[in-house]
Amino acid sequence: MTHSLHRLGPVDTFQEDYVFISRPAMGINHQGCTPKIQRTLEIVFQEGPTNLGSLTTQENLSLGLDPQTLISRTEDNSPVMCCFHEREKVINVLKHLKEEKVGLSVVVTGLIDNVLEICDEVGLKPHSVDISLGIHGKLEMLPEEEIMCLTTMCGHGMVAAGLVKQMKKAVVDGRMSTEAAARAMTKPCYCGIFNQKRAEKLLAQTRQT
Amino acid sequence: MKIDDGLCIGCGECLPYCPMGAIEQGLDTAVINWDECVECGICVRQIECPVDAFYEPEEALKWPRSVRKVFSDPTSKHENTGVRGRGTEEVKTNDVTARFKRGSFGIAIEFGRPGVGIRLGDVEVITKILAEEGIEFERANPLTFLMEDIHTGKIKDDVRNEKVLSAIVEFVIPQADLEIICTKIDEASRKAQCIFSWGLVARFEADGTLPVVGRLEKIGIKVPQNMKVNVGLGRPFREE
Repeated sequence: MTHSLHRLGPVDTFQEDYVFISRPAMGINHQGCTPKIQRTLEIVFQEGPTNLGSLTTQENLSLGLDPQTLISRTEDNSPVMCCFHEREKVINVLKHLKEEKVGLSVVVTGLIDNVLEICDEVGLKPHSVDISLGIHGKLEMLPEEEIMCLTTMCGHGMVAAGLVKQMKKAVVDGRMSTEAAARAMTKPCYCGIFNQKRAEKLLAQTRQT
Repeated sequence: MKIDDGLCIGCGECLPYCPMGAIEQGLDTAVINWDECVECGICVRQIECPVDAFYEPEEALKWPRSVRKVFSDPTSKHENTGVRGRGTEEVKTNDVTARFKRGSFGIAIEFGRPGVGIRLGDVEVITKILAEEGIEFERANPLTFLMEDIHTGKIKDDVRNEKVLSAIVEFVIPQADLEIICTKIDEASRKAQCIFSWGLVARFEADGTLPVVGRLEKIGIKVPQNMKVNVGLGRPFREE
């Protein structure tokens, strides 16, 4: 209930951040749905996601995930998990899924006004929404927000605060490019929703400050 | 996880990668703080250790420590709890399951997130209060499986001290109870020795509006603009 929900950061950094997740409902429409998941993957790959991951192959695009291998290893319970930084690609994927009546559930995480506009453009009526109510409790246990802007992009919390700090320092010191640092942070995220392009922008802001 | 100190050369390259910061530099080698390690496995899978010193010892897979892996390693299955994943399909498939219907809200409280981790017994700061309010915890959630009594929210003694990356409490409330439940959670959070991220699932109204946002803001909850939307493509579609 949380996977892509609690991404932190300034609103403007979400303008090019869309998480796309598609999956069957276990026990309802999952039996025999492998071709639907494979078709969804084909459509997504045709558009070109910013990142895409698989817990089955334990890879993501930055680790060299091969689309055909992933498609061939798809099972009835495989989710499609990826992110885009281009709005038009999200629109195109949703249009194809609608026109072809693929029938798997889809959630898109992003700025609500942007997502609703996309739904309107595609002709979709949004069904439900998951809203973050924030972080509570002993907040002094948390790292700085500028670190969490990056760590919270992995749905399973696999991107360590220590790694982010190391990468930010390397960028500030001029030892790494923002692209290389973002790629290094992307690697631990097998769910594939760590948006490398957003990470590059956040790192670039660090360098400027 | 453990590090073979006969192999480790103490280069320290692995230290930043642990989400819990549990890899420490010892005198000659890196060492894993066994009590803080949540068995997420990122060190074994991802760190390019030049001597392959990381390994998963057998004791990591024995009860009760085994719960660490199933709650922390996204590649693992819940063989101990009988449930896959840290939570349910929630809003992801709500257009097909109708798990959250009009007239109700779903709530998920993810303890330990982001990036801090949680001792399973620490969730009781919230679960006991919710139980007193008559909340019924989602039965298809692995944390519910670890409750000694789902009517009290008490966690089983043998797993209380196990640390995991995160654990999710899920439940459904009638729409009318929103303010009272959120206020109870907010009050309890001030006594918490842990952190949690929480979220709420709502149906869009027939006219596409989300009146819940206004209700949340009235009780002081700032609603972010970043939201997770089920776009209604699932079939067979269930309105309710």
